[in-house]
Amino acid sequence: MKPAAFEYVCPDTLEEALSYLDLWGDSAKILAGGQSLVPLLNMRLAQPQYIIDINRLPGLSGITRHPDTRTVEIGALVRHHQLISNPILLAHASLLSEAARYIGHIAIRSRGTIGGSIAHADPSGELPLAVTALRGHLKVRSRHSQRTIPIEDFFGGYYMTALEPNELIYAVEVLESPIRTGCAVKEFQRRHGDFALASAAAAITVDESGAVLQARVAVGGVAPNAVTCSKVEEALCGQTNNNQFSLAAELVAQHIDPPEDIQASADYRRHLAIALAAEAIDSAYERALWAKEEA
Amino acid sequence: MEITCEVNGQPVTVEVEPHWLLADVLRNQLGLTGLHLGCEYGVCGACTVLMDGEPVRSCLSFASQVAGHQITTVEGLAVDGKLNRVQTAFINHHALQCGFCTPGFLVTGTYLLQQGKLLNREEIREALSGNLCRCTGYQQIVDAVEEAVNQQSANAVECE
Ligand SMILES: Cc1cc2nc3c(=O)[nH]c(=O)nc-3n(C[C@H](O)[C@H](O)[C@H](O)COP(=O)(O)OP(=O)(O)OC[C@H]3O[C@@H](n4cnc5c(N)ncnc54)[C@H](O)[C@@H]3O)c2cc1C
Ligand code: FES
Ligand code: FES
Repeated sequence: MKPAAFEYVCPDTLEEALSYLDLWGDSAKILAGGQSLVPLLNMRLAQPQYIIDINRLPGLSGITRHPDTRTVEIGALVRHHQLISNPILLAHASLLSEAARYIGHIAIRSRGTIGGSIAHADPSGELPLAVTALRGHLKVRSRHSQRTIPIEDFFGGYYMTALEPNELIYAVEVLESPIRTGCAVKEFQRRHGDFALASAAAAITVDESGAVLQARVAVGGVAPNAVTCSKVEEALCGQTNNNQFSLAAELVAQHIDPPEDIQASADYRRHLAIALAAEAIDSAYERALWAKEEA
Repeated sequence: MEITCEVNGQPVTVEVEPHWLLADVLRNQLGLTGLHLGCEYGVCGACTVLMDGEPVRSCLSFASQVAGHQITTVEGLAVDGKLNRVQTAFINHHALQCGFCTPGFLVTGTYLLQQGKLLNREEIREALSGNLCRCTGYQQIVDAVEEAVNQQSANAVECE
């Protein structure tokens, strides 16, 4: 189908975009990569009166490292394909690069943005999963105010977020991964590039002896939003072998109560989440050991 | 609204409604009916074009968004009337039947060619995974792209 008519603006400054958003609120939609919004417009599942295209806003496309706060800031308009190859991310927050590789196909990754993916809040989205695992923050602005929302307070159920109608995400911030960290994402999908039935992300840091010092684990596709698994993370600390990792991964079950639908039963999703978490942990740990050798 | 962009190397100015899809404007206003609309929600890949050299879905972009950008459609792949390597390889490998998906595959394949990297079969399959074909079973398409991409890269390596 074709989209219904709308009024289109393409502001050149953030201030201008925010004033339109303030004026129009719910009757407007921000257009970033368009890879989730335009399908909804084409199917007329969304019929906003106004479209605010943010693609020409300056200053939202950078990836910056702040050594003083040990954080990495990713502009909302950074495209998925930039995440995959950016040297700052590969060195300091490689979970995001790993996650972006799983998103759709090249023609989707060339347009889709990190801000759009987080704002869209798909339960199977890889970037919401990775930013959740890393306990990232979203930097949000409206015309008159500015705030930083921890990702654990951001998602509010399927496709729902804490954003007010006049707010825009301008950046995503994550803590730098410590040295000797390895990251991995694993997922199960029926066809390449599909949304995952279940997914898992892990960032594992080891100490000089190779024991787990810190673990970050989250699972996706098994709840309205990605879920951090603190019990798994705690159980992993101090461990060095794969048997212990599998036992820790079993604890994923205590964090989730998966939905049942035409694609998979709740039990099957639970099984997948545990198995994928175990795989992600194994592979992140192995990479952490390589990083230790290099350090 | 009026937009000016570059299509297949030519400057173009065209009057569009803001909600018109890039795909529709290329087909209806500019007569470039090579690209096809299969699904209109980003899944089939038949509408893929290059925007500033990157493959994008023309069904998920509005024409109003491409002002100042360069667009290449399947009609712009041949140079001086000579088919490019991917196009020639498609003929040699019988990589099409009905041809509906072909423009999208040719554009994606040409993008891979332009990257100038050697790619193994798995990488090529991944790169083509965003284009669906209901006829061929994909093997000949992968064969064609593999030959085109790797022939070109092999030549480039020899020249270095
Ligand atoms: C065929 C296909 C396959 C896909 N496969 C996957 C996949 O495997 N995994 C995956 O995660 N995604 C997948 N996607 C979706 C893709 O990742 C999108 O890019 C992403 O979900 C949305 O980002 P966008 O920049 O395209 O946002 P848009 O589509 O432009 O916007 C999405 C929503 O976010 C809002 N928004 C956008 N930017 C901001 C901002 N800065 N502040 C506030 N609100 C904002 C918009 O108003 C809209 O409601 C797929 C898409 C397609 C078409
Ligand atoms: S018509 Fe654009 S991807 Fe199918
Ligand atoms: S040749 Fe018919 S769809 Fe591909």
